[in-house]
Amino acid sequence: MRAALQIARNDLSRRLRDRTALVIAFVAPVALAGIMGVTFGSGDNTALVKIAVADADNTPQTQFFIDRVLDSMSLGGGVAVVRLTDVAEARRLYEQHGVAAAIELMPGSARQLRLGSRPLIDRQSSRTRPLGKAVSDGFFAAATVRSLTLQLILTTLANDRVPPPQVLAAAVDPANSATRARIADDPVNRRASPLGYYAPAMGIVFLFLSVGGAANSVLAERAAGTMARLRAAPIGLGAVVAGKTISILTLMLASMLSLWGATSALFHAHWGDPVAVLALIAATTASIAAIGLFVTASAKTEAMAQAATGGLAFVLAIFGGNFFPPGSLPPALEKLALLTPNGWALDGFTTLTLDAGRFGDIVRPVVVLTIIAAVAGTAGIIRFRRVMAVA
Amino acid sequence: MREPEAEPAGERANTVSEPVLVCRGLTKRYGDRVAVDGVSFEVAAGECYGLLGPNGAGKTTTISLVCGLLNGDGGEVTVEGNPVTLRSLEAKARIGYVPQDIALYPDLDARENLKFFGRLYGLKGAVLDARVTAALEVVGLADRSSEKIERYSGGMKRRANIAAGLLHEPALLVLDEPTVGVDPQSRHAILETVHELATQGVAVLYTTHYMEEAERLCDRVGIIDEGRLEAEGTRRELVARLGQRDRLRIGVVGEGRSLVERCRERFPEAEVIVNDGVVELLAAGGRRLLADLVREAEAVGVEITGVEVIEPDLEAVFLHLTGKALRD
Repeated sequence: MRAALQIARNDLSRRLRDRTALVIAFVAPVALAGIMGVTFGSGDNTALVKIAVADADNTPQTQFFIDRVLDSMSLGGGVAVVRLTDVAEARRLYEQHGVAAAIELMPGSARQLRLGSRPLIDRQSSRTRPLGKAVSDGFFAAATVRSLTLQLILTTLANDRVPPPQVLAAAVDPANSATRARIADDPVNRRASPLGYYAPAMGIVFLFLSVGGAANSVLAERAAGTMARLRAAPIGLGAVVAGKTISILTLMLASMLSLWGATSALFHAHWGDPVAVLALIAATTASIAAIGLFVTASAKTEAMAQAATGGLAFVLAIFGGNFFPPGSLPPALEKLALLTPNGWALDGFTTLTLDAGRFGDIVRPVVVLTIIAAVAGTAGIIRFRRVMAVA
Repeated sequence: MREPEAEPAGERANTVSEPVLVCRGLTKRYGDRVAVDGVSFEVAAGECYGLLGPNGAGKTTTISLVCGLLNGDGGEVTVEGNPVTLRSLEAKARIGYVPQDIALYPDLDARENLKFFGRLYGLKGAVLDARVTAALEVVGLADRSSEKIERYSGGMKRRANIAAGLLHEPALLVLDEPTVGVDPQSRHAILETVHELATQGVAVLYTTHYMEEAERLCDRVGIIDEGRLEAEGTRRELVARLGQRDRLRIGVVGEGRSLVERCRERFPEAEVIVNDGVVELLAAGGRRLLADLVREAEAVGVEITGVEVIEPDLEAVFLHLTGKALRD
């Protein structure tokens, strides 16, 4: 172990000296945080998605209807609703990308409600804005289910009578709603932000991209001839690989911690329960480092290793869902995502940042990521030992 | 420091003792190709043993087996009685390895490099500092120790490379072609250093394809070609294998074919070859044939441009044993 630590120390000090460690561990994560902070706004902006609801009739009945439907959807802090009375204004906002979807209660909706029918609802949404589409679809479905109950309430209100409590409870009970947004509504989660989700998502992609360079130091030692001297020393092959792995892990951990610190300090992003975040970062980093080690050990040259880890980074990011908003993947792809470490890591980070999960809620992703790290790491070490044994 | 030339091959044999390195039947195959084929030799404390052979002869593979960088397909290596394998840490701790490549970090200075490698051998604190300083002094780099390796000349890099192999005061120092690509001054310094270490009792295994180095430095030489150890012994023992044959080299105008044919008729006991305007005649007491040879050249009308009588050397031994030149 002492020899492994010496090798790790030497590796890190050389990387500090040539500044690659500073770039990977601090400069790049802070720059990434800055770019995402500018793109998504600060964490004080609580909305992951903004939608417009236009009420053309603007009557107490239609306003009451909209309130109850929105309540039943339990949208929480992640969805901001812009209430308007002008349908044209809602469409303009949608077309100018000011909102992700527009829901329009058309003129005559109040009359429809009084007649016991569903109001006249029009929607502006697109598959290209999946979160907005999900919310507008949810609104439409909830409105359909609620219309009969609401009609009863509205009738009693129109007669200046108070609706029975059980009717009111049924109207607002989220459990009865046809659809639920993924975002919970609790005090912690009111701080949920796009940055809180996208920071770890992009951090994972960055880790994959940087792990190739870090793991390449093993191949670089071989190319430079220093590997022969390391192997001739009385330290065992395992110590060489362990030393390199410790160095890689340290850099990657520092990178993710910097990203966490920068997004939190500069842009008030909320990643969730700190203890759980630390555990998840450690497990995610270990799994990515292990995969990087295995890929690098399977490559014959540094260039091949770089290309392989770079390609793998993008493939896993796409299938793992790093480039998509939470909850927007089709069910089949959601299952596929759980075949990747990215998918499990994002599942954990989403649970923490959007669902206000605690450590107990992310045990499963942490365990899975640890298993991935153990399997890939063991395979990588075995491969490296074979490579070094014949080099 | 004593000049190595003053005490050439075989002359220091009386200082050697128990074998530090013992190789028995070393074999290494890469697919169908046999890189090392049953090589056996020993190196005693205070002895410098040279492995002489052309590039690709199997020298580096043999050294890799000796240092535990490769597992062999047959045979065994022991250092001070400890078997050498990939995992034999005890034996490795007694070997100082100087690879053919400069196995140092170019972005670190010499002292930092040596400290790092010294720590891997369990050295630390004041002992490590003292050993680093001593090793740098041995190779004459003490005053340049704070310079980065990348700023060193080729010769200085080679000397620093040797220093890294000396830190832990090894019983066996293994050097793989340590003078390749260096200037004559640095080569001289390296040979002096190695000679001095052997004098101090270190067993030295030295590979080279430079015949002059083997003759100048090594007590015993093993001639290796195509993975086989063709012969070994002191320089005198090896040269004696030629049966005191002299080599006569005669430069001629033209191809000299007619002279070769005439020589083969007149001197059937001699080996006669022609190469690029030079006729070579290898024969016992060859120098006595010189006058006859000149007369035969005149008789067949071949114009002579130069005549040289060469004493038997390791190059001639190698030619005799393998049928090819060292630099083929």
